[in-house]
Amino acid sequence: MLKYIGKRLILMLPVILGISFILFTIMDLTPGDPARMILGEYASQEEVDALREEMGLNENFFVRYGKYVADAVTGDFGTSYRSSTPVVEEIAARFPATLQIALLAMFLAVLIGIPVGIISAVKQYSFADILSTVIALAFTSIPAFWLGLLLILLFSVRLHLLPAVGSDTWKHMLMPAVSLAAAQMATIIRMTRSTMLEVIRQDYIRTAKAKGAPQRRIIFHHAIKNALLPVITTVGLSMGNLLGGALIIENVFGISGLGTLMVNSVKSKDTPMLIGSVMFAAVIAGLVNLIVDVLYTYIDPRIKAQFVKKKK
Amino acid sequence: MSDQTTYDPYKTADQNEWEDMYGIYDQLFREEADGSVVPNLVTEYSFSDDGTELTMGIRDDVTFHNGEPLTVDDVVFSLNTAIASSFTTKFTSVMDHAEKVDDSTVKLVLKHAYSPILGCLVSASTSIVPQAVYEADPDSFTASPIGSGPYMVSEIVKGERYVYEAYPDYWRGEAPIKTVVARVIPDGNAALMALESGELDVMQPNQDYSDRQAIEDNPNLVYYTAPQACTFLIGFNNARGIFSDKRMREAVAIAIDKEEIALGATNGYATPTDVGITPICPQTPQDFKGLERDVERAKQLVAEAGYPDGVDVTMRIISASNYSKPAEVVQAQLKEIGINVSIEAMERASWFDICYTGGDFDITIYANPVQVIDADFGAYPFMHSSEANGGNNYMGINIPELDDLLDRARLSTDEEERKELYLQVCEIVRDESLFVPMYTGERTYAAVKELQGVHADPMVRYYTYGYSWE
Repeated sequence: MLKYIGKRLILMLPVILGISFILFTIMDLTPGDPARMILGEYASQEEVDALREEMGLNENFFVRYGKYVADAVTGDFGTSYRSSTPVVEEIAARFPATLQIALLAMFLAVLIGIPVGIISAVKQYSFADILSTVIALAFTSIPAFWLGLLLILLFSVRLHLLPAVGSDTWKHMLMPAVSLAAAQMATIIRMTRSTMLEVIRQDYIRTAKAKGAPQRRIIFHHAIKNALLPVITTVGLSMGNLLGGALIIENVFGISGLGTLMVNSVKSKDTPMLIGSVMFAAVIAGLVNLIVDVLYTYIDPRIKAQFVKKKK
Repeated sequence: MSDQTTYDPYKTADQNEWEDMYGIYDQLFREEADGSVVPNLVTEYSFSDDGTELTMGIRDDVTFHNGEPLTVDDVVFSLNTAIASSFTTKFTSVMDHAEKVDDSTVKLVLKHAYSPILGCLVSASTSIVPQAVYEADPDSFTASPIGSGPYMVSEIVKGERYVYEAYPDYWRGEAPIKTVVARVIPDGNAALMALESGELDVMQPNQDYSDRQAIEDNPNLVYYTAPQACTFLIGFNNARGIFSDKRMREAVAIAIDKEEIALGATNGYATPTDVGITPICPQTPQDFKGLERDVERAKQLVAEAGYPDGVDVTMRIISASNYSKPAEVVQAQLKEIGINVSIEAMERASWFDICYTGGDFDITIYANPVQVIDADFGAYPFMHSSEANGGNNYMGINIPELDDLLDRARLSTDEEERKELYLQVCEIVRDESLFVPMYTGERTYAAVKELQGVHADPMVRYYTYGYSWE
């Protein structure tokens, strides 16, 4: 098992390296001089050139990229062009807000998505099933930023129940989390429903029914365990989506998280900041997926058995 | 507001970052609500006969947030630090150095006489900092600045909110509003809703006036306007390409309908203008008439220039609605005279790199801004040949006669003479169709109606000190 985890971790390295290279190239190829952006349009060309030299922007692309990677390996991800603070510090300051929203969103999506999906499957073609399918379809289709704006309009402007912007208290986190959770919840509902439908048609469920086991016991004891396996994968994958979705949602709710940091970095051509924050998000998403895969082996004895076989 | 990456007044050239610095620092001069420049830290001032030396008396009752008194040494240090910085060029390029005369007097030596100098000393870029603290650790000014202004930084949540507390010993008296929270809300719609729900008390509305009606219709809010310190214009590459031919430039100038562009681009909230220097500058000629609109003549000029069957051109603009909206109207109008414009919108940074400093464009739309309300700021950087090729003269204008007029107007201290010179400048702009001024918009601000003392400012210079609750 440890060997497997180690292998997975090593596999993440090329991914991270690839991300950094692609971003570095894109930022380098797109026009816009970071030194000129910092000094403003009125600074003289000599001043801009001097700053370029100071920032090491005049060197060859591969030399700069090589230096970046060499520094990154030692844990130095550079300093932001824009604010001259270390990239790591900036990410550490911003990540908690993003994480809080993402976790809260995931919690909401799972808390609502799984039970609704189960009910939908068990009572297939009932009114509840149709309603939940329609809601799930709507939530997958509604863009998160628009849902966010509607929520602000209703709960802040009309009802004065929740604050519209900022992340000062837990109340501030509710609307961003709900906007972010909606699409994930819809996916979980649909996923749970379809796997549940598949499972309850299987022989062992029929056997349980034939034995006269009560419906509740069949669902919660026998069916749910198998039905939730693919759902867990979905939840793991959704972490990446949630981090990506935060990009838009944070802008709407004026929350200073990883998402706004990325957007601002692109706008101000702040290459070290952008690569640092995107790599960080990629690592988080990768780790969550790894954790999910490891969890899998504990939940599903069949997968665990595979590992054991391989070892032999 | 936008993100505040630093409070060091000498390490940013971003207008948005100056905004809160007006609360933290004092400047030698300040701007009143009516736009006039009055002494702030200065008690009295006088110019030498040749206008190259400005002698200023400094107040002796001012203290910094750490309790230390503000001295002439601090002023000299601050000015010299600003002059040495490459971020403050806009305001300090004309300054040579500052020196101490005695314990209450400072002398600022200029490279040459310069009328707009007092306006430069209003800018946050020439803020006064305590020498001892700044010298000990300049980096501390990034996040924990010490100034002598009415507010002190009390809490920073980077990129989200910046909280300021009133400085009780401020020399003009403690600010009426004790706590100011500045929030970063990138989404304009969300910001407007926060204002409507009462979470915000004041905000910067959208620059394309799209939310104006909603704010004006709300009885709890007030929409403030002031003239914008820039003029939206059609810019040509005068140095090379299709529009280096005067006939083509003139064709554009007489083909377009400015009323229609202003209506389409700003819902009619902007005022069409024919004058080549932003009208807000006091030296700009009033009631200046541009060329008469004549679509037939324009078609003829395009044909004469060698394009009887029309011509395709690319218009490179910054990707933002305040540029793309006028661009679309201009596109439709130029089609009539056979100039087929395709619009290429790009990121702000890219546009500056490619077009502004790179000079790689034929035609564009931009708004020439002024940082100090003086015609020198509106004309010299954009039209003087010394600023061409990578400087602010992005349109590559190179006319010796124009250079001469701009030089003379810059050095003159006689306002009447300067007005006359700038009139001649505007006439050359028109007669040569160097660019086509289109309209000037309004600088806007919105606040809840109970908040008093708010006004929109052309330079986005908001002195929160003047605010109070009804």
